[in-house]
Amino acid sequence: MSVRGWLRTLARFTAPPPEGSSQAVQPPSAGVLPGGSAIVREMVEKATTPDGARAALDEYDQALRALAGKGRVRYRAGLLEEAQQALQRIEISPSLGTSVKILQELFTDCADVIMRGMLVGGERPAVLIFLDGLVAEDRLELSILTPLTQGPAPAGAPIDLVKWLEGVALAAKETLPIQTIGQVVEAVLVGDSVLLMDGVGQGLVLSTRFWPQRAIEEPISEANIRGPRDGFIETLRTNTMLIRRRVKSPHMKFEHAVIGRRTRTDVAIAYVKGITSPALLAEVRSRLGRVDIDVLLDSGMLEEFIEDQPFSPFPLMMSTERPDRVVAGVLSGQVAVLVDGSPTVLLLPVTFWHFMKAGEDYYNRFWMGTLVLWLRFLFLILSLLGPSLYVAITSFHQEMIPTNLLLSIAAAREGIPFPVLIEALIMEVFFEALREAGIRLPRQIGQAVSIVGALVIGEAAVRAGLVSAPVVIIVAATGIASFTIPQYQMGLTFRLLRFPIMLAAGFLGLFGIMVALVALLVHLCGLRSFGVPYLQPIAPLDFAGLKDTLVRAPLWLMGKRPGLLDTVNSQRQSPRLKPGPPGGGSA
Amino acid sequence: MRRSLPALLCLLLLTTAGCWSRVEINDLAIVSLIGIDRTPAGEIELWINVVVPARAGGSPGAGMPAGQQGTPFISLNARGKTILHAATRLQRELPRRLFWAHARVILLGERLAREGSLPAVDFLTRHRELRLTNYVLVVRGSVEDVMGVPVDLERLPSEYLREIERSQIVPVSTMRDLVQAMASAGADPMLAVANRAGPPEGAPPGQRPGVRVSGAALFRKDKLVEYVGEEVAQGLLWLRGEMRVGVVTVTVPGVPGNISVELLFSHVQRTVRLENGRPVIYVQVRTEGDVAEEQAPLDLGDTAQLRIVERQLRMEIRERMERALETMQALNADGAGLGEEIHRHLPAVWKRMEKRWQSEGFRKVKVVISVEAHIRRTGLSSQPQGIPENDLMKGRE
Repeated sequence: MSVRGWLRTLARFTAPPPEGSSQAVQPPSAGVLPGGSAIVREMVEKATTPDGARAALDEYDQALRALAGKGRVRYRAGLLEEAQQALQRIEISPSLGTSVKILQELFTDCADVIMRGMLVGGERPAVLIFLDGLVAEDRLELSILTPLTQGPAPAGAPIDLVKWLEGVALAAKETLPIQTIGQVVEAVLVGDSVLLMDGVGQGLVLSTRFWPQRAIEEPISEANIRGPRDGFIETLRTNTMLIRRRVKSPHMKFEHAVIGRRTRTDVAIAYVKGITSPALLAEVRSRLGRVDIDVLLDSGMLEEFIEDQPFSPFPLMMSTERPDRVVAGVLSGQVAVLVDGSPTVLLLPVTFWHFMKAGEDYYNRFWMGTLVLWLRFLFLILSLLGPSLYVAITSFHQEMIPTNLLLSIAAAREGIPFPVLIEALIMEVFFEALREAGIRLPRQIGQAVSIVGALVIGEAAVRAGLVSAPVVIIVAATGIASFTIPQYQMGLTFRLLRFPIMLAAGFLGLFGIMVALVALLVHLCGLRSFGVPYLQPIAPLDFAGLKDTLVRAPLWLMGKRPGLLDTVNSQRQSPRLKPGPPGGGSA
Repeated sequence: MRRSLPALLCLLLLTTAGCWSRVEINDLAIVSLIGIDRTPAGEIELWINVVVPARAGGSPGAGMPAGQQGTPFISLNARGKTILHAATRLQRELPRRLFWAHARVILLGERLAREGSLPAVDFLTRHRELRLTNYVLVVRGSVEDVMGVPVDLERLPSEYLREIERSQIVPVSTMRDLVQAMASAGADPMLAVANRAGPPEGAPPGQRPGVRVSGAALFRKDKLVEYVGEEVAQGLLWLRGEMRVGVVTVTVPGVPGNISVELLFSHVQRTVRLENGRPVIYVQVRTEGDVAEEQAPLDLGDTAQLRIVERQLRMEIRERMERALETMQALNADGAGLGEEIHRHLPAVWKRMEKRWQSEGFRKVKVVISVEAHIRRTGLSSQPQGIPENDLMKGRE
């Protein structure tokens, strides 16, 4: 039986429903006590709001109106915070009725707020406030409601009562005495329960948070063959757990912050004390501190507010769903930002080369890691320049094509009505549309669409003479190439950049491609992610960093942490770890 | 706004450019072979082969009417005062722009070559689409003979000729070699010769005529002097230091049958020394090869007998080189660029003799040829197969 059903049943015993109304068609609004003790209800009905609290509530109300663009008070920054401050000024009254009345007003029409009135030990009126669905119902019933309503009566002075509740009566994981209505509201909204008792000028927060959450699954965008398969989920606490489980050290820190004026989203800044540069940490804190937004739903939204260069097409922080990747990052001196409700964790600062790595590179043999890394670089270039080079060479520099190839292309292009540029653009746009459709559609249909689009339409377009076969080949190869970029966001960037370069190639040929590439390079050289040059360690050159950039060196060779992060402690491991056969091996 | 304005203007510039040098491939008439000849009236006659992509393409591709059969190229010709004059006339007959960049072989007609090929080279080296690395050949007879001949194995006659030139078994001259030799006081051009090869006598009907590249044409400056045969041409290759691979067939005196040696490596060093006030040119050849075929009853497993073959190989090569040298000196055509060699080694001496080089210097210059040849391997068998052991030549002992 659910809590609410149970409460309703209880309510039927304690107070007969008003005549002519039916519980089924008229669910109790939150303004009315849904159940519990009639004595408590009477207290609330009789209570009046004191003047101080009235003023604060009015202030809160005005602030909300101003945020909506109405009312006497004009909008200004920080208004909502002031309103919340106003709530913090209302102290919990020793009179239970008064406190509950104020809370009723604040939670008007919040159908999911439950206020359960009761007589503790059969004599002292009390109210338990919690959010339906956000609390562990069995825990609430067994360890809070049962001892309170059926246990012995408390005795003593009001302050002692809180101590008595905390120490003797209740079996909750965490308890915290609070003083103001604002704190009550905050606690209730995150899923804790608050107990208010008549004659006590304090409330007691009982940790009862519990909500259904997705199971830990393999991340979709960063699948791997070897290595851990768990991925982050939408619950911040679970995510910090996934990290903590891998770093069993008190140096692993999770700093808490709240962002989003209305969503009040929990954000955690994860770093390792003694490795992460304090300057970097200060910068992260200050950037997060100035984010004053209404809604924070995903780390991607946060990303836009803390970037170094908001107009760059390149991702300036890594977003990953893999805990192992985050752990590797923070242990090399990066800072991770976790956002509640988002399975994607931000890692910063990053360089361009970070996006060329998959976590798996470090779990496979270093030869494979290096080979795959080079393959990715090769295909990165193809994915950026494939169609552009084809357009430029076939429409400007036909002398560059080997004669036999030229003849084949020329034969394929006989009778094609469009210039190469248009032809390539049509196919590229079409391919992008296919890809987009494939993502949005349900998985089973998505594959069918890809096959129909790629094979049937591609083949038909060639047969009908709308596009030439070489263009289809180029576009297909480019498409495959863009999937070899291990980080989805970087793949997106290169998909985007392909089009301007294609236009440049179509207008100016190879010269245009060079112009576009130089512009791109200039942009990349100027980019910084939290102060770290985006192309480091290539530019500025740092020889020590190259062994983890151009190649994937054996792990036993990488004794130092990356220099670019300015870590406090640069030594990662012993420098003499090269293994060998027993006895005669190198030390 | 102030920052974005220049960027906006740059973008607008793009639209004004209008892609003026952009040409779609299907608006190009791809010239694959250029032939230049002179008419009896003294006009320049330009021949070109233009590729028909629909017939030349790899597969019956898109949007192409199926079943277009026929030769993958068309041969066109026009006359004019200059090459470009003739080309302009040709352009009028074509709906597509002439595109010269893929003409990798240039043919010079015999009449033009004999009367002086100077008028041909300027356009061919000046035009931006034409390369200096294009191969140049002389056609024995009329250019027309070779232009329109359909070839087997390759799609186009130009590819056919180019592949043969690239195989390095015939003397190769590029456009650059030609103009350099023409302009140099100490060298004369030498070009490969192409001619139409009719079907052999008694060949089954339907066998098509082909194109053959053989021998060499010796020039004196821009004028063709004489054709020389295969062996002299090979000797010329040695003298020029361009010999890389080839086959030399030798006989051993007193032993019936031929032995063919496949040369796998050759190195030619040319030096000039002053002896008694006169420059003497030393051409030193070092070559290595395998016995590829033996029809003589020699036991090549026997080192002594192998040495005999080596000696014959040396003599044969030297003889070919000497014959080539004699031919050149008799014709007074320095196809090996020996004058340039003197120029390079003894510039002061060259300055004195430069003027007389073409009139008499080349005829009289002393050339010392030395050959060092080694046979390294004898293939899979050391003895000729099919001959009883007892019939083999015995060693000297």
